[in-house]
Amino acid sequence: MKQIIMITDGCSNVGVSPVHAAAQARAMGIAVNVIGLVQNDEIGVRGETEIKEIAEAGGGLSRIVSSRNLAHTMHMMTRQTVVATIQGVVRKELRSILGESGSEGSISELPPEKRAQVVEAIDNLTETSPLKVALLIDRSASMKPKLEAVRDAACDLMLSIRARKGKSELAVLYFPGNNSDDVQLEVPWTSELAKLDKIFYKLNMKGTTPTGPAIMETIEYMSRERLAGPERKAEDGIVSPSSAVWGDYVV
Amino acid sequence: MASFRRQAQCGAITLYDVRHLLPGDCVVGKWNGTKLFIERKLGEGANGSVYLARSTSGSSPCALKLGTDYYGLQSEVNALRALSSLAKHGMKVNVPRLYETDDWECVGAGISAPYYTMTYVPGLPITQAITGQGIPPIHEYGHKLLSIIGRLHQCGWAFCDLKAANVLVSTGGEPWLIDFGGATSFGRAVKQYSELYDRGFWKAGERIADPSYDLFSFAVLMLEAAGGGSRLLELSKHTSRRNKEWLAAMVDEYKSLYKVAACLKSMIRGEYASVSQAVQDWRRAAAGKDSRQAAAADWCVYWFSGSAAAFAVSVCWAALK
Repeated sequence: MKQIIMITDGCSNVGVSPVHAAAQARAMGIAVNVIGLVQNDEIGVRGETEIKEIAEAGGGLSRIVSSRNLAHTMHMMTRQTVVATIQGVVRKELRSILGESGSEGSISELPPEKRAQVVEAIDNLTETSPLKVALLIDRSASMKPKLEAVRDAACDLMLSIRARKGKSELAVLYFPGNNSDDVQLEVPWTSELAKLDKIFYKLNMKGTTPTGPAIMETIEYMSRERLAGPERKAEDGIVSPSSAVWGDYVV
Repeated sequence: MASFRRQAQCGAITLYDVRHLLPGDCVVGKWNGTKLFIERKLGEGANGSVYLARSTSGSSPCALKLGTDYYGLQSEVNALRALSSLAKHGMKVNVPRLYETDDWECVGAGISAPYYTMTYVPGLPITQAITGQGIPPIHEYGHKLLSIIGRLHQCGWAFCDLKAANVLVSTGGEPWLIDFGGATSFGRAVKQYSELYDRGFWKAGERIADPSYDLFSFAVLMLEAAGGGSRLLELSKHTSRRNKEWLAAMVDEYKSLYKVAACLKSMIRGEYASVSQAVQDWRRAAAGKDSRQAAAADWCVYWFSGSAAAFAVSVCWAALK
């Protein structure tokens, strides 16, 4: 499973529409979550709308939060997105199992006693499926006072995802990139907390916010790195997505 | 979120959701046909809202949890079912017992929400219940709570979301553990937590469900119950102070925790591998027989008798001169 969590405090002002970029991500199996970060300032109606639209196009969640709540929000968002992705896969299977036309594949169509196993299977997949989360951070000038909170939240997210049994990795990118790049890779895929210690250290803030191109570059980065085989710390008896009954699900 | 249309007597239709049921509303089970009447709202959990309900007026009350999400609520039901083995062998453990699971279908609206019923636990959150005169010392509540947590661990589950709101003290003074939405089996990632009680937040360990995770939260809860709530909030605001040593230092500031201070510090530092280890120390400490405190006391006695002997010798020597 792949997610982009984008943290921004304003509107995009350069390049291709971030909403289109997010839709592209979704089409490639990458969920896009967006967090609008405020701290004694406001994001404004335009910014708020854009954030919502990007997340909706990206099949993810959006929130406007203060620095203090950033870490916990990221944990809940990541988890909810993982659960939603798995549920989406299960829905297809349930629809064929239930075999009725007009079935939505929702577990509400099963009597309560029959749901326990399905939900247990979902819980297992939620825990064991490999996960990659790309943190995409806005480095426009207004983000400067919030970067420390972002670093803490990134470390906290690492704590959350590495606790999972499935292989979980975090990458950190910021936009715009150096020179004339749209995005800069700060930390490549890792499960180590120590790798996040020095992020944003001595980072220069830049003027533009090329949100759309940044998302496109991140998609490219995420598609480039393929998991070599079904790498995950297997829990006994738990079937990995690559060989399970939900076999069409591409990780 | 499931929302319902309700037609008021005047014919006006209002939209409301599962979080705002009113006294007198009737919940009907789609699969079992059970009818339950809402008396009042008890509280709110992550997976839904809890109401006091009765099947008919005068019958025994139950707690009804109406969920916003089928998967979330079923996860909770699965956890409660796994713990139902606690009730076997005549073991009385203060956790709600699961009665029934069903869906509520609002006739005409074509929408339904899952729910389950369980034991109603009348009481106050522990931080409110243990204020005032004439109440047993904090460490007695702590001991009882530790026993409940220990039993849970025997089933292979960590509670994970231990906080004041999830520990109710009944009118009889007994602590109960409620809201199993965060319960996670050992070895898995903690799904639901509150930052103040989370050892990851305090950089004191991983966010993996295990006995010491719950023990850490327990120690923070004891600090809060002793009156440290605002201090904890203060500490939590500064990233540099979010560490276990600041928490451990806080323990010494509360007289009511004096007896069990060493034990609490060990919990904060993750030094106990199981609740039974912690309970042993806790019991001894509460009875004033803590081995570490006793050792310190012994040392004092030896030192005193040693210095008294030295004094006696010097007096004799001076007298003999």
